[in-house]
Amino acid sequence: MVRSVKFAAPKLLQTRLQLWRSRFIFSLVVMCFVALGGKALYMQTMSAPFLQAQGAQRYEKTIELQANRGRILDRHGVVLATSLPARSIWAYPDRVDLSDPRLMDVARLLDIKPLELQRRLTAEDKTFVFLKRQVNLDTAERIKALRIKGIGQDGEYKRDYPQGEMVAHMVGFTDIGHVGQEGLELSFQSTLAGQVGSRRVIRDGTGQIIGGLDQVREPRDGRDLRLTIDSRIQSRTFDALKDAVKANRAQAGAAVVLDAKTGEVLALANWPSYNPNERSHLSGGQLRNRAITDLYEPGSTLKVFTAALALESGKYRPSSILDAREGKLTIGRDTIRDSHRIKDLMTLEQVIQKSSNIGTAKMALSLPAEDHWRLLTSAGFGQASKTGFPGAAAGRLRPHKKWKPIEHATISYGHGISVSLLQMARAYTIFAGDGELLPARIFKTEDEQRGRPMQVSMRARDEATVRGVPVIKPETAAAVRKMLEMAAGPKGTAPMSQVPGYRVGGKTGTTTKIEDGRYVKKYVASFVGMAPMSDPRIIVAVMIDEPSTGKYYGGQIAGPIFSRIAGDALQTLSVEPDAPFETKIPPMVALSKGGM
Amino acid sequence: MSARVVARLNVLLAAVLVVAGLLLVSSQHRARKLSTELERAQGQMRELDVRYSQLQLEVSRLAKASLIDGRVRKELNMISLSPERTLYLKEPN
Repeated sequence: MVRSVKFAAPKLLQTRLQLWRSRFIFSLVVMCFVALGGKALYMQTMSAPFLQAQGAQRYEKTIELQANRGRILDRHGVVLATSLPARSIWAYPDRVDLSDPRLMDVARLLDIKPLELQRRLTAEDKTFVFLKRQVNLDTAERIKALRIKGIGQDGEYKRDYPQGEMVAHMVGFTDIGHVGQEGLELSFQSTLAGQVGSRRVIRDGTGQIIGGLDQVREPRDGRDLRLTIDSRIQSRTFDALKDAVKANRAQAGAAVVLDAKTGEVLALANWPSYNPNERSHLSGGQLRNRAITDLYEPGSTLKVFTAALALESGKYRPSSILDAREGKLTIGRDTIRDSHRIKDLMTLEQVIQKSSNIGTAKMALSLPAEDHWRLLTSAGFGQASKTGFPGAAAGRLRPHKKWKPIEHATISYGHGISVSLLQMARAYTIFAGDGELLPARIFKTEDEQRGRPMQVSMRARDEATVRGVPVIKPETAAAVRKMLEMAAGPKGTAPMSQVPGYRVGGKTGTTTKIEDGRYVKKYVASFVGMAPMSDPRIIVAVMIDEPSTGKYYGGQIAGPIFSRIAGDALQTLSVEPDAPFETKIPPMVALSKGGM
Repeated sequence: MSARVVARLNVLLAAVLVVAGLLLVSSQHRARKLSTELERAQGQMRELDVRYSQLQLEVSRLAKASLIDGRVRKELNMISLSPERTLYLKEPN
C-alpha cells in the first residue's frame, strides 16, 4: 500500500527559512498592490474627466445637423426663393502641384479662366483660398472625382430665385452666408432662418456611425413664407410696366395690384429691376422698391378724396354746381390754374371727371382743414403701411394747424403732400367697397399658410372678405365710384384706360417733380383705378417716373398701362365681364358649344 | 445542500454566464449593424429631400409665367384671352 503524501507539504518546504525574508517579500508585494491601487484611485478620481474626454475623442463625434432656410412662395405655392445644398471649393495653394494638367479641368468646371485660377493658387501670402463658392453638387462631384491634392470642398447652401427679376424687389436676396440683405429676406430673416442642430454619435475604426448617444439637438428648419402675390398677375404686370417704361423712355416705373375685397397685394412690380441670382453689377436705382419706399406727389389722383370729403360734409351733392370758368384762382399771393381751361359751369362729378384744380380747391376751401386732414389721415396717408416690408415710407402730410390757405388748396388736388404708390392703392380701397380702409397685406396669415394645397386654383377668390376700418359712408363710396368711372370714360381724362368687356374707373395724376426745392420740367404720370365697377375686384395703381417722349399726362402714359394690367388681371382671376361687348365668336360655334 | 449540488449549480451558472455573454456580444453587433443601416437610410432620405427640392425648383423655373407666355405666343401663335373671344356660360342654379 502506498502511503499518501500531502502535496502541499513537501519535504523541501519544511526546511526553515529566516522569517524576515518572507515578511520582506510579502510587504514588497503589498506595497506594489498599494501603488497600483493608488494609481487606479488617482485615475478614477483626479484625472477621470481628462481621460474620459480623451477616450470619447477617439470614437465619439458631434455631427452638425443642417437646417433649411424657409422658402418664399406665392399664393399658389409657386417657389419664389428656395435653398439648395451646394459646395464651396477651396485649396491649400502650397500643396497644389501647379503643373498638374487636371487643373485645366477644374478651371473649366468652375467656369473661371485658367490664368485666374493660376493667380489664386500662387498668391503668396495665403495658405488657404476659396476657388469658388456655392458650386452646384454635380460640378462639385466631378471636381472631387479628379482627386487633386490640395483641393477640397465643404458643404453649404445656395439661395435660388427661380422667378428672377420679376419679384426681385419684394423677395430681396441673401448674402453668401445665407443672411438676408434686402426685401423680405432681410425683414423676415429670423423667421426664414433655420436653427442648426447637432447630434453626438459613436464611430467605429472606419469612421462609420455605429450608434448615437442621447445628446441630440434637433435642427429647426426655417419657416416658409407665403405671400399674397399671384405670380401670373405679377408676371404680366411686370411685363406691362417694363414695356411701358421703355416705350416712354422713362427713368423708372412702379405698379401695384390690390385685391379690392381683401387688401391683399396681388402684384407689385418695379422697373428697373435686377436678377437676384446675378448680383455682380447692381446699382442703388435697381434695388429700390419704388412702390413702397419712394414718395411722390400724387397730384389729381388725390382729388377724389376731396370730393368724398365734400359729400361727407353734407354741404355738397354729386350734382352741386361749381364755377371754374375764370381759369385761375388767386389765394393770397399765389394763383392756381387748370391745365385745360373749362368754359362751362360744372357739377361736382364733372370737376372730378375733367380733373379741375380750381373746382377741387374751391370745394376744399369751403370745408374745415381739420376735417380734410382727418380724412386723409384715416385713409392712411402720412403713416407707413404696416405690410411688414422693410423701409415702407410714411409719406408727408403736414398737421392741419400749419396749413396756410394756399396749402389747403393745393393739398386738395394732390400737391404739397407725398405718398407711396402702395399707400395710394390702399387708400382707394375705401372707394372700392363700402367706405372701409382695408389693410394692405403682402403675407398670407399663419392660418392661411397652413394646410393649403399646393395647386393653382382657377377660382382665386376663395378668401373670406376682410373687414376694414370705416372711413366714409357707403353712399359716398358709391358716388365716388361713379365719378371714377366718368373720369375713365370717353369724356374724362383717361379714355385710354378702358378695358374691353369691363367697366373701369380711375383717376389720372400728372405732377412735376421737385428738385432743390423748386418744380422742374420733369414729370411723374400716374393712374389709380379699379375694375369691374359693378363690383370692384382689383385696384391698380401705376406710376411712371420722367417719361421723355414728349407725352407726360397721366391719362396718356399711365392710362394704357392700367388698361393692360387690369385686363390681364381680370382675365386671370376669371372675373365675369360687366360691360357690353361685341363677341367675335360666330353664332354657330356659340350654339353648338352652348348646347353641349 | 451538499457540496455536489453546489458544484453543479456553479457549472450551470458558469454556462449561463458564457451564453449570456455571447448573446450580449451578438446583440450589440446587430445593434451596430442596424444603426449603420439606419444612418445610410437617413442619408438617402436627405439626398432624396435635396433631389425633391431641386426638382421643385426646376418645376418653378420651367413653369415661370413669363417663359410660358413667351413660348405660347411665339411657338403656338396663341393670343391673350379677351371677353369678345370668350363664351360665357351661366351655371344653372
